[in-house]
Amino acid sequence: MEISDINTTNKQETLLHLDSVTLGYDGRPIIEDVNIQIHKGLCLGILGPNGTGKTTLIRGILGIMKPMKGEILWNSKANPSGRVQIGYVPQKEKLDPAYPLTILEVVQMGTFSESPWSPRLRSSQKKSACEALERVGMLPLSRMIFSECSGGQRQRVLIARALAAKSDIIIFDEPTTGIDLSTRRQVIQLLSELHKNHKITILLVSQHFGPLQDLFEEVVWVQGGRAVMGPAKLFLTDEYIARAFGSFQDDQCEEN
Amino acid sequence: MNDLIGLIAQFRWAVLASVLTGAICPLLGVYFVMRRMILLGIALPQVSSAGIAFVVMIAQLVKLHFLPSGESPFLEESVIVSLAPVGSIGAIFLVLFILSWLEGKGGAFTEARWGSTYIAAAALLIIFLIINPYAEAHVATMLEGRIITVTQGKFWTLLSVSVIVTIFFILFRKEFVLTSFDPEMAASLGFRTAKWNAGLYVLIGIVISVGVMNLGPLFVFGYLLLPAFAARPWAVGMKQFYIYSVVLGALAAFLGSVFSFWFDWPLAPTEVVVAVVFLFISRSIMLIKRLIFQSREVTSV
Repeated sequence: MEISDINTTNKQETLLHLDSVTLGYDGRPIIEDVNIQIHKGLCLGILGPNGTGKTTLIRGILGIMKPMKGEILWNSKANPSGRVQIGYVPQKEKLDPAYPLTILEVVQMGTFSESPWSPRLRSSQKKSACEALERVGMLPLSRMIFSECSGGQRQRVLIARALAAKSDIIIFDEPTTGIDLSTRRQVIQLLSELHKNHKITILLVSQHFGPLQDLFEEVVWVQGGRAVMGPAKLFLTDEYIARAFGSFQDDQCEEN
Repeated sequence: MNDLIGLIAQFRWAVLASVLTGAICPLLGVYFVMRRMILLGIALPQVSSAGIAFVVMIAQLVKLHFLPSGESPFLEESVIVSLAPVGSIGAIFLVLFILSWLEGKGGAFTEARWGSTYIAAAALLIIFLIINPYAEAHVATMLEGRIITVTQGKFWTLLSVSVIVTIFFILFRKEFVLTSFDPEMAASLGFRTAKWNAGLYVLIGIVISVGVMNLGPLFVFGYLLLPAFAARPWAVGMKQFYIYSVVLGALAAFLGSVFSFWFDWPLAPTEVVVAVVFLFISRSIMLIKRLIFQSREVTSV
């Protein structure tokens, strides 16, 4: 079976549908004619070599970039706000250490959309933030400054923030990059728990996907300005990875 | 001592204006430090000055062109006072609009743009002052920041603006922090980052305009940066960062006023020097603390 022949429609309830979407900058398309449907409860990997448009695709899904062509539909509607709660876990290096935010303050940010015109947080928002911190095992450190945490701790805090947002879907951007092996295992364990126990839909962008591949049910493979979706086992074969990455295959094998 | 208290009482509006601006500038200055836009902090007061010089120059040239014989060529003080806010706010918002538009277009030269803005504003300011034949008489004084000339009326205007800015800042501090710290997360939660950035820039623009008109660009830039920079290592959480910065700013401005009258030094530079001393003390204590901590760790190993 060829990748392009895969039927991406699914009988389960569709949460996100990219309908012939083209995304790019300054009129120059980066990724074209993307057709994918993501159903509720799925754990999906967005994979592909560096510089192929994975981040562009995520920016489109987050609503930061408008599609040049096509439509992005959430629960069959064009605008996600008020209908779908999206949690975003950025690469921890993207967040500037100049901010003296405590861990609790970072997690509380996830609840800000619940009281947009109020300068104070409601007690329910504070409670959500504490519960989320407890779930990732960071509650005892809640008064610590976020930028002074280790890489693994920061990753847990950002996951807690997405949980506090009561997200229907959480988008992770390279969650295992730049952390040591044992912390990486803990993060993967946490992601697995979130997916299996809490039925949260997960979209996970990675180019170092070796240690994460057991999590994925389906994969969106981004390469050459195109994105195709299919079962993880179809893409994550030595042969396919070798074709996509060339010499990079060795790195992926080492990760395994 | 009595002389000093007498001087402070005599120039109480200048002292109060310094303390008030010394408190409001760091409140917004925390964002200059956190968002690493210090260069913009230098550029905007300069843009404000150039804007004031430009509108006064135009008004002066128009007056000279239509001047009836026998009438004084000098612009009236009331005309300058009413034109200054137009020039200052107009120039700042025009520049912020252009910078935001260029930011939206992308590119990796943000700092270069801010630096170019400063250079352009500084050069234009000199040219506007030279073209205006009577600039030395009134505009130059305003731009140097003769705080001593702050009157009761100017102080109440400053207080009203500060109260309004503070209310907006408190109301939307959550949004400002989220969209500054993690714009992508903010977008995923449905916050329009560009809108909140524009809101923050409007508040910054207003404070800089009013500050430059009353206290001059040196004081405004000094107090946007120094108190927040001094407070940063001690703050655990945003609330502490705001409070420490505001308290340090107000205290430095007050002590600066006292030293200025005591030694008969110019007000704005003295107040800025006191803020620099605060920064030096803060950073030195932090450095000593770190060295002690490191030596203890080495000993325990």
